[in-house]
Amino acid sequence: MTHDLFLFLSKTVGLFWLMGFFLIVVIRAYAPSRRAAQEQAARSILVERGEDD
Amino acid sequence: MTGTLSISERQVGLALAVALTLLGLVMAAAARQGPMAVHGAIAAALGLALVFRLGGALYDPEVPAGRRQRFYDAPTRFGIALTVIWAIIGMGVGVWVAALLYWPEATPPWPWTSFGRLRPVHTTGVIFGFGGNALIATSFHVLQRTARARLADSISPWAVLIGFNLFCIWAVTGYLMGSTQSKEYAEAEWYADLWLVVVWVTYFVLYMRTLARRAEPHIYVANWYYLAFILVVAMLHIVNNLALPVSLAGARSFPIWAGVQDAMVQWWYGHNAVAFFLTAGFLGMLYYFLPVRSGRPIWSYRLSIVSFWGIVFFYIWVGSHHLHYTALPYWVQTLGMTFSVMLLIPSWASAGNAIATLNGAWHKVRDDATLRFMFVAAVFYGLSTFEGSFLAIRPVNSLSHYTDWTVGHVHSGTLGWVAMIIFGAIYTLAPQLSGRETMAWPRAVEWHFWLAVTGALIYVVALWNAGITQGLMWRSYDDNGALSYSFLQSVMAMAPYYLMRTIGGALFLSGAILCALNTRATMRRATGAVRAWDRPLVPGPAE
Repeated sequence: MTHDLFLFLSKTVGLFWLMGFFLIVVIRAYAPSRRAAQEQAARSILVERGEDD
Repeated sequence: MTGTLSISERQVGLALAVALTLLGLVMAAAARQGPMAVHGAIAAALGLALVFRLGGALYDPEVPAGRRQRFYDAPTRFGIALTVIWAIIGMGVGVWVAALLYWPEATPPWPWTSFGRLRPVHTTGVIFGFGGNALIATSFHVLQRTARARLADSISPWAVLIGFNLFCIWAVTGYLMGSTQSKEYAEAEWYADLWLVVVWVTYFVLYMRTLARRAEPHIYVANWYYLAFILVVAMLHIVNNLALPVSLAGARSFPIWAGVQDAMVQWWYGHNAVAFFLTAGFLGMLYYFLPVRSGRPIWSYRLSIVSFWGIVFFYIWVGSHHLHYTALPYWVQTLGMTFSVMLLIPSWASAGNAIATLNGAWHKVRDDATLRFMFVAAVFYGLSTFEGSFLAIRPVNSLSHYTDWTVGHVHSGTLGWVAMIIFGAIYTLAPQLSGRETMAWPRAVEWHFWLAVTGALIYVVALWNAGITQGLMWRSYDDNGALSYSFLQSVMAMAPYYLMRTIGGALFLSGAILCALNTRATMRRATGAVRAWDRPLVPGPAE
């Protein structure tokens, strides 16, 4: 492994890994099919508390 | 403690206490003298105290059968008590060393009272003692409530808390004796580091086992942050502390890293201690306690997921911004700088998400000092992350580095963000765990809030001025190209700022003392009542 090879990998694989990772996270987080589950998760820490109070 | 353990658990606890006593005795006997011998004696004394405590209660009546139907909150209560005790120790030493900077002639003649030995007692006391205990205590609470399951077992939470605090005691007493690895935030010696690995693995396993038993389909985002904190801190701690002891019977060791690699590994650790110890876990706290206290779900759950991955992914690269203009290759410095600037996006997404959650609850922020603590924490989080990204830019760093601006920046994060969210969490938890509606002294919370805000602002503004003054004095040249000021002149120019920071710190400390007394009074007036909704859907494991 030479220094130049490391540099090449960081500028190619590293860059696309970064962008690809970001894309996957955004798609997974904002997928419309997950909306209901996420809404429910956000409210899950409040629901029963509200009923009791 | 013993009252919440079954007889068989008390027996296991007794065996562990005997093992700790033996370990301490072996350490003390092998080392004979020096810090390791003292630390062995401390461990043996702690082990012995636990032997008496558990042995004395061994044949007390069995715990009531209904305990599996309730959350296990005794470790959380214990952790909160330790949190406020460490707050007073850590902040008290901080104010003392701040005062020594203004009145250096007040330094007593004994070596252990010197600034160099007391400063790491302050940093370890507040970061690990105050912050660490708060993280562990709240994580047990948040984990159980969000998973709707009781902790997977009753012994490991105590092992984690007692073991972690033994590490903290070993660390700070070691510094007082002059024992240090000379690594920022990782000064503790090799055997203490190994001990922390054992404690941390126990913590991780307990967390995962409880999560695996959850009754909720989704793992609430606060757990992601707590888990990132546990997992990444383990990785950082192990890699940065890889060292070869001079002898197995002594405290001294040498790191396996050398030269600029050592510096890079240290600041990879050092900045990620900020990221994963002082940020990720506390964001977990924020994402749970802010919605709960304000009664509103987080503004955008999706944004919290994106910012989680942003923070985790970007933070790990930024450590090299501590090494601008050093022997570290230029491109590595640039990498750290670039990622530091990019980090602002997920950081502000988190801060904005927290503040937007309060939309529609501003009347509560006005009336409820506890919620106000959390609001101020989110604001300071936004401010200090902006400042952090800004200071990481190379030309800005050329002015700010080695000055008190850095110290001011750290305290804007720790006083304004970390401590404020801890106080918010404590004021939410203490009444709930005591079966009460409010703290014992509700007005003291209001007093604490204003003491904390005033103290933090005085401290931070004083050190901004101090740092920029220092930076400018160090780079002023006269017509002949000589430095305009000697270093000593720049030190003497600091006097008014150092006085102000001592006053600011003292105000903050008095608020923390008020919090400790209030928490004690609240827990002493516990009713033992448990709300109907505050029970697990998944009971504890069969006994």
